[in-house]
Amino acid sequence: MATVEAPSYFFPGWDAGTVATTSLTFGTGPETICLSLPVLTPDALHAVSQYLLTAQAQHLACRPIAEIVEVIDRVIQLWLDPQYPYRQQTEAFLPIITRYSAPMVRHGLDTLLQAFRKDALWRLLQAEFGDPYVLDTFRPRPHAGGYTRAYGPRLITHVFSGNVPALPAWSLICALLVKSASLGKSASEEPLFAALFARSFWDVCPEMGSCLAIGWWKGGDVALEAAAFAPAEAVIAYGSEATTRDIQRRVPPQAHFLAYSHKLSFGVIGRETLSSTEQAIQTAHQAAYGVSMFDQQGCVSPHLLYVEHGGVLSPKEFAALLAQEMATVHAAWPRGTLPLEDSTTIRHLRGTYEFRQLNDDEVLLFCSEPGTAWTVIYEDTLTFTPSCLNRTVRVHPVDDITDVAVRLEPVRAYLQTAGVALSPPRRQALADMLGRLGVTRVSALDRMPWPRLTWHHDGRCNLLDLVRWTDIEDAADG
Amino acid sequence: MVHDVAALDRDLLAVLHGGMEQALDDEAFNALALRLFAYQYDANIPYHKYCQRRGQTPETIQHWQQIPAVPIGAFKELTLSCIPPEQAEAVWMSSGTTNPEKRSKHYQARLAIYNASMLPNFAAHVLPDTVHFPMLVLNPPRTMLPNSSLAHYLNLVLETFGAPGSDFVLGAQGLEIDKLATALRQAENSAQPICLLGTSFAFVHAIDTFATCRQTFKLPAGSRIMDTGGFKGQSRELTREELYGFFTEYFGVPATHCVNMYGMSEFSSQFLDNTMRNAYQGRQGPLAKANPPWTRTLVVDPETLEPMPRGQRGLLLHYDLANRNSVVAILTEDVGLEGEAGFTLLGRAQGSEVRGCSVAIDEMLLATQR
Repeated sequence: MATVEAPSYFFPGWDAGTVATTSLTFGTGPETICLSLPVLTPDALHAVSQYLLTAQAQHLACRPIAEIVEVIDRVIQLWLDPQYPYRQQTEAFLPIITRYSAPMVRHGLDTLLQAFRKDALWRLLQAEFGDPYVLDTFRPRPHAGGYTRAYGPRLITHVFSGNVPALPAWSLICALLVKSASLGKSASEEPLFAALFARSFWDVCPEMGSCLAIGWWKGGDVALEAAAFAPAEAVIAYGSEATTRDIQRRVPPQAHFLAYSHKLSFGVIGRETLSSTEQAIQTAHQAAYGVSMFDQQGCVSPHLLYVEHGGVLSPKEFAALLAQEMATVHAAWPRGTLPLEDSTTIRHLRGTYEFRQLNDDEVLLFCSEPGTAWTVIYEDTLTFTPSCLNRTVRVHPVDDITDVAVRLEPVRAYLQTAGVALSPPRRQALADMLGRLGVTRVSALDRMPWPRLTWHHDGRCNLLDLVRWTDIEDAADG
Repeated sequence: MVHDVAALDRDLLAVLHGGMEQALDDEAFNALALRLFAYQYDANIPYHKYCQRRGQTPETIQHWQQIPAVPIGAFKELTLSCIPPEQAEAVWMSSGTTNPEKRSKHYQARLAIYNASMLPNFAAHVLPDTVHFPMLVLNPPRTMLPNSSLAHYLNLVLETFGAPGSDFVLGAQGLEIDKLATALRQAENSAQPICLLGTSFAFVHAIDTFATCRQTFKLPAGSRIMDTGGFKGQSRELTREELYGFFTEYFGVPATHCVNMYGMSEFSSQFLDNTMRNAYQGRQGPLAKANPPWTRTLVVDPETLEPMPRGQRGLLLHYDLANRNSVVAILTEDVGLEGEAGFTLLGRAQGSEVRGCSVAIDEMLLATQR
């Protein structure tokens, strides 16, 4: 077994070399790697937090937003360079740690990190603040009069989930944009990326790097989390509803709590995009791509697709094309390897449908062989059945796209992204219906995995939700 | 193709009557398995279609390992029977813990075959030293649960091997704790060992009650316990070690005299721990579930359905020749390891915790049932 020297933690100003270590093991056989991590104590987390608070006051609170954006952009540029050592370590180890295929990891890193380039960061700042310099100084308040300035939390504690590599970058960048220091708890499933990402800030700009710390402990450790949450002015948690609710109970009342918990996404395909075989293949390819990215583990990944009757191609024919395109996507970005339990789930689901289709003309099963790389199930049903994921997708026919509302009603509390293939006027009409149901994002099918930085994540603002405002009332206003 | 079902049954029953001690070599097993497959391929219509779609037919198959395995969930989807279901002598239904609407149905054309499989297997593993034994059954009689394979199993055990005084201690009103306690106290005061049988959970229920009133028993040496099933869907889960620890603490029965029976309504044979049998035959060996000679178990990779290298965890795929009226080969959702003699059952393959921020299915089901 190889013990990897990849530095899977980052604590500026704290000598982790002198404390006991624990390890997390990933992979099997010769592919096994073992990450060594310091054992944290409440005292250590307290010391790290105090260091972060001091660093934030010294190096971040007064740093102009333009400089912050520049540094983030330089870090991202490094990460987009295939020769960058941390990038190479990430590409080498993430397939073993996360079980995603190497091409999937590469493609995922490239696409996700591209989204954090300078232009996009400024767009996000402008979209949310209008005038981003409210983060630097008191600025005149249009319409209201007087002056106002936005302050981010001095320290944000992040609890990351491990499903999509590089996603912690999003949380850490948002924190930096509002001039907050970050204490990140990486996920047991993927403890590497966040630490490497934080280290690259240290390399590019030590002052900003000193405002980031990343460590790992087993989620739910009450004493450690009490120490991690106590000094934070905001806590951001990713995970299941049960996990985030549990965390929320333990966050001190004065700290702002934000949770990104489990969601359901789906696709809607209108008859107008099935007007020719060529067009239908293109739509099927976009859908297959949307389903397959990160092996369907993202909250933005569609569980199922509603396909409208009345096109030149029927929903059943579309399902067959989708199967073909799932195979094409698998060839380019292979599905990862699965734990025994997940393969079993797919195997038995397929078994059920293999028999169901013997008796029911409205059920069809298409699947990869011999493995479980992808599965397409066509079934005429009103029920929204969540997918077991790992590239398992259902296709449900609908007479009209407006029929989806009643089918989504039972799961409305969980709805997030709708990937649509519709003409613009119909998209607008459906978006309104879906918005009322609780959907927070309508995108093209192949954009589902890659939300814009400016998206109101789960219906909320990314930066505005973090800041507090201070207003100066103009005497002349009376 | 016309099948001589009478001859098939005769040969099958001859194997079953041979009991646990006979050696059924691979050639003999293969010959009977292929005959059964040819019959089931022709007589079991959904299975016929299933095999045809996969291009696996009696003409293309030479070895029992090639017989198409049906995923166990298929019994919930449609009727897998070689005879019209109404002609079956019994139908076993699953308890349907996950979805009561969809229970699996397993039609037994002839109970004689089922019985001939279970009796020698039970005797060899629970009564290796004796023929008749006083028994207390912590499960309702078959009249109360006519579609339960377990109720039939335990009822038949009691009828066949139960010495006078054997009885059921679980009825329409639930566990009859006073009756059980009285019988246990009686056994304790006599020198006569007894056998307790029931579901793992019924035992936990009894132990919980005895714990509340601080009652323990020291059953005479030679007393034994057979438990079956796990704790799925129950409010409390125990490991095997914890459960058998309680058996020793509350009944005075050591782990060497505890046998777990692994059976499912979709099978006509069961797999019992080799503990008692080894102990009485003076054999050493690790704990394992024993395959009766008319069964085989493969540990397969769910990804490819190919056998796993020995020592690696995989899904259990059982071949049961006593499944005469349904299908011989069934892929389970149970995880296990191949062993020297038999296999080790590690438990149900629970979907690993969803990595993503996508809603876990269980969480969803809970939400939609609210």
